[in-house]
Amino acid sequence: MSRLRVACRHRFPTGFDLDIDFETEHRTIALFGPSGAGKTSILMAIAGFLSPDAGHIAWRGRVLFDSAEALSVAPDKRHLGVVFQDQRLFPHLSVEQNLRYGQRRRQGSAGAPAFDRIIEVLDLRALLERGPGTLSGGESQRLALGRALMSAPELLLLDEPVAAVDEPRRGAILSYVDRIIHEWDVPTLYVSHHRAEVQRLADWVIALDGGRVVQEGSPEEVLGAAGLARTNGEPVNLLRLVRPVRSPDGAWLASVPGTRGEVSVRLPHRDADPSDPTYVQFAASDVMLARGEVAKLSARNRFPARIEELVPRHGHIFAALSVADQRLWAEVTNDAVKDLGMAPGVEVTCLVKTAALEVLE
Amino acid sequence: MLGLTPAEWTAVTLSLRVALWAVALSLPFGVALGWLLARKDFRGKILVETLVNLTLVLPPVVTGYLLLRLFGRQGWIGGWLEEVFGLQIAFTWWAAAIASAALGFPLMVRAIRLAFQGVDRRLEEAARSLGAGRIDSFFSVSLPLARPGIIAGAVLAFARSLGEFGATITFAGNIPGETRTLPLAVFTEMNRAGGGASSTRLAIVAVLLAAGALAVSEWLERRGRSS
Repeated sequence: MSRLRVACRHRFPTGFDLDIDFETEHRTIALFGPSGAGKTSILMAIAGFLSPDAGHIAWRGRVLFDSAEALSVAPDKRHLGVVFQDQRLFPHLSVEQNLRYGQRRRQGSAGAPAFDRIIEVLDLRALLERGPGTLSGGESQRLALGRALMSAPELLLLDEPVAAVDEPRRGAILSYVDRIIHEWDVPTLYVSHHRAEVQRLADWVIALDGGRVVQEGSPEEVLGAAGLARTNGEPVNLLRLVRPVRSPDGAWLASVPGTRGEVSVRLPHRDADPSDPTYVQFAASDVMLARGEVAKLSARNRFPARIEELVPRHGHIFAALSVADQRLWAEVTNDAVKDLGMAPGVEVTCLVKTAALEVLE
Repeated sequence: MLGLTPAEWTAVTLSLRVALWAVALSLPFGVALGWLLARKDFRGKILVETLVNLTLVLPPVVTGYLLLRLFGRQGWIGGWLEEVFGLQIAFTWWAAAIASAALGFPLMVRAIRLAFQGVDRRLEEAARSLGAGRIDSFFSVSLPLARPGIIAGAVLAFARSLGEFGATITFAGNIPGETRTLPLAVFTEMNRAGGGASSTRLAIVAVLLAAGALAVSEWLERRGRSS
């Protein structure tokens, strides 16, 4: 049973108050919230690098920290793997020695992933002899992931694993994280302030703000309408596409898998073949809505959608839409809502310019 | 080489032996204290820092005198060593090594402390998260990363030992073949009629040794910076 219980109260010298309490049995948990919400502090408390003023932390029934009993298991005895935001690779060791560091010292009961398989999945084979100082941001992050995995952690703690990577490479790192979680089926706690990442990876989301848990639930619930009202930030659309094919004019088309007929999406121009599945991301403000017949229009991507909910926010309205079985957001004005007669249950056509799509590898 | 007489050679090799032992004796304490001062805050830290640095500012003769009071046959430690083990420290080459160690210690600790301060504590946390205990993470991460600074500190203490005079002559005397190190030999020859040539030869060796130690220390520092 992968039960994680975290209750802690801590006052930082800066005056920031952390007061959270949650318990979950999900395997891929995201701590989601704006920066300064206390996400990393919670991760550090679980890892054993922050001793809360008061609290209780237990994983799979094993108490790691309990202030009432003056109990705090040393970080090296907690059997957790940590991927720090700043990676923290050992500069005096080669890539291979970094990977082997945890392997030699692992104490967890979990079976150790095979070294060869890890370097294959994370594409580290060509880098083994090099020093960490010579690696790019993405390579360093893969090494940090591999090093944590090699210690056979019972729970993997990831602190904003894409934050230190350049924007275009982030999707690639996410794919590696995705592969690791699925291949080794390792329970994971993932810290992020990025909606699309959380939506893609997590099966349970704990939303934080100002050192408090503001909501817990499935990604759909927390990142959906109710969550939008509670957390800051704009909703981001993430659409999962399958079976990319090249059209006669050279562009790539991919399908939205769904129950209500398939919808085809045209991907922006690219050199490499897209992966399958492929994820595209776009802002709610890049989505137009139309009712009835759409005349000739330059926007290439049109999906039939149904309005589920209208959420007022920042003087605009965010329309929650279902496209096949996926959720999208469109930002519209009050005026447009009235003019088009938009209401929950109304069928509309979603229009998105191909240029607004960002493909996440 | 350099036309040194057997007595002069003895002084040079004795100096090297004394300096090596001085470093070997003080290095473990230097590493422990350097780490403690770099990483821990404790009551009486200022007192410890003052004691460590005391020999840097005390006249070496005073240091030698204090060592003599401590390790002499009537001293706290010396009396006990003689009674229990029949050992005599003062006026042996061990005294010369202890005197050198005392004088070089502040320099060594300073360099090692700086080296540990330069080691990123977050790397030690990473080691802990990978299953390394405190001692393991010290030896597998902190110590290797501080190594260039530790070696530089050792070289500095070694060079300081080669030049030690005041504390040595007070605590160890000026016994040919036993405690007459290079600086003491230069001093003795200078005061002897017709000893000018010998002083010059010894002075040249002293310059070469000092320059060599500085060059090694500089090289280590550069290598430490580039890696």
